[in-house]
Amino acid sequence: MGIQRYNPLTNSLVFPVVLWVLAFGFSLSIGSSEYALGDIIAGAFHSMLQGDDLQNPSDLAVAGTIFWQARLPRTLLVCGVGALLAAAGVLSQGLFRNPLASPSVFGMEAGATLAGVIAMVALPSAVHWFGIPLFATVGALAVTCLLLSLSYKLDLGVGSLLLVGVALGSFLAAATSFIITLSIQDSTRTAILMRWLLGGFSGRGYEYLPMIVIPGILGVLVLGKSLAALDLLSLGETTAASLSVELKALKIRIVLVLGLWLGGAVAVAGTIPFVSLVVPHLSRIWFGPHHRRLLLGSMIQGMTLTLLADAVGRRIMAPAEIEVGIITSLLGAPLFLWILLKSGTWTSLREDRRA
Amino acid sequence: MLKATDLTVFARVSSRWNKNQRGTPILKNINLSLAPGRITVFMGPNGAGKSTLLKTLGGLIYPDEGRVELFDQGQSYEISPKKSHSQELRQLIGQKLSWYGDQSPIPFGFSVYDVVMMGRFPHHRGWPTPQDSAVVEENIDLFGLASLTNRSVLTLSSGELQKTMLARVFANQPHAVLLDEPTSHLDPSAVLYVERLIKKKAQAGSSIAVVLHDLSLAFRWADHMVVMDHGQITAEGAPHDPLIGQAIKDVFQLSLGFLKSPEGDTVVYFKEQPQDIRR
Repeated sequence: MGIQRYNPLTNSLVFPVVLWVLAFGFSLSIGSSEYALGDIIAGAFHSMLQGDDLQNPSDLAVAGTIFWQARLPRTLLVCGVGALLAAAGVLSQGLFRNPLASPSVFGMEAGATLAGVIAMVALPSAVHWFGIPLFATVGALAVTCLLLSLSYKLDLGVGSLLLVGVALGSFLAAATSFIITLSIQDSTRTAILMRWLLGGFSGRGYEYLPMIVIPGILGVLVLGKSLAALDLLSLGETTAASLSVELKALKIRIVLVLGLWLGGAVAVAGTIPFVSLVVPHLSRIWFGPHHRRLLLGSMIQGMTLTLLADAVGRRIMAPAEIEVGIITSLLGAPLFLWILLKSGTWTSLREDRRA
Repeated sequence: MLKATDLTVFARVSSRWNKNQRGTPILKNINLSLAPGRITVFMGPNGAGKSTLLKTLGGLIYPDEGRVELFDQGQSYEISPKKSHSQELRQLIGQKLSWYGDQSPIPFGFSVYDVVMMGRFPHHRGWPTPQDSAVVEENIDLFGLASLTNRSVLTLSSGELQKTMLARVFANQPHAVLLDEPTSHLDPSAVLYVERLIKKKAQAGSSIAVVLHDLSLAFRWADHMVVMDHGQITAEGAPHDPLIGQAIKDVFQLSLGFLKSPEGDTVVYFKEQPQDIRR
């Protein structure tokens, strides 16, 4: 195992931002209609400057409409969901002091999903743009609080907590399946539910943006200056407390933000596995372990990864779409193995072999 | 100076069904002062309550009864209150008081520099100044960690990790230092280094409390000794007070002998008590 040192160059934001811009452009240039990025952008400016002539739409005007009404909102949503999921992963790993404690592994996403499904089935009228995020947030919060109190009361180690989280996750997933089975007579509703569960962005427009933007901003406000204190939690609770970290307030804040962000992301796109597990690790290799830098970096890399996964899903079987959740699972598992091989000195994922 | 009055701490009972239920006491009516400029060494068998006492003195465990006060520059701060402190008071206590104890595994690869900088957190609250960096670098040098500055703590040996943690403690520049077995993984030269450092710290007027199991080391370091057993202080006094020797013989059930090295250092040897004297 080599010795990794900090290198200010590799901590720089430039390369990840460039990658993100490229992924953003790639996502805009891909869709079921055959318009390249150039056409789409020309069309976008055209419809911005000229307005749309609906009677006799020119090719450019059609391209413009596709840009403004289909590709841009979708790309923005993908960015938002990717950023929130990755950030939620960073927070939960820091909170549980456990590099495996990602929302997709620990059942928090499953909790948010179950709550969302309950909302869709029990209160179809509340399903619009604040119902699902609210329920999903509550679901994620409930699971996080349960795990946190269990790990605190029973003094669970890394392994046991992981087992509890995974068990809880599969319990919640089974409950979700059970509810869907109950509502199977209503085939249109089942179809909507299944589509949401698989995780995807098709048919999502601007009306979903508030689900991302509002929790995003609220979360940043609640977090305030607590990210530096989250670093100290890595030394253990007692040591952190001896360094004047107020544990209770810190945990409440982190849990709240975790729930908000996860709720928003799940409400928009359903379950998207692996982003919240893989991206924080990937970013730790790049940005180091400090939570301030790591959170920002993970947001950028979360956007990039989700954009790419979504674009690949739209491309490989076009005009049919593969849901982004399927792609992230297919990419995420091997990527995680690769990270495991690379991340030796950045996280304590592997057994100690220094002797 | 740190002063504990009538400290009692009960073991936490995991069942929450009966909130009034208390476990067995870990500390019973401890009265104690850590005088400034003095190194107080705590000795006692495993499970005697030494670590719990140190954590309670550091405000990391709230006592069920009694209180701990920190006196500094004519001011007194209660550091183990029942209800939570204000942010300002917590920060002030964090600056004046440092604790080192059993290290739980670190999950993420912070560098040695990062961890020592965390010791300055009560001063900078996450926004280090050049002065903080200077203190951190000075302490990294003092502990001979300069070549490891940028190494991930996950790659350190246990001795190197312990030195890092001690550098973290002293980087805080505290007025009172609580060290729970600070030398358990250290090589002899590092032990001597810590000895020099805390003696210097004590001369400068700090109150220092150390839990040690190494008898020779304890007699070398101590200005004042506290022997504990079953959550109580069984003897307290100057190291060469015959009462202390007797108390150590009693709590550990062994017999002690003292030798003087040619340089005048005290070396302690111990052996089992003869069968018939043992309780």
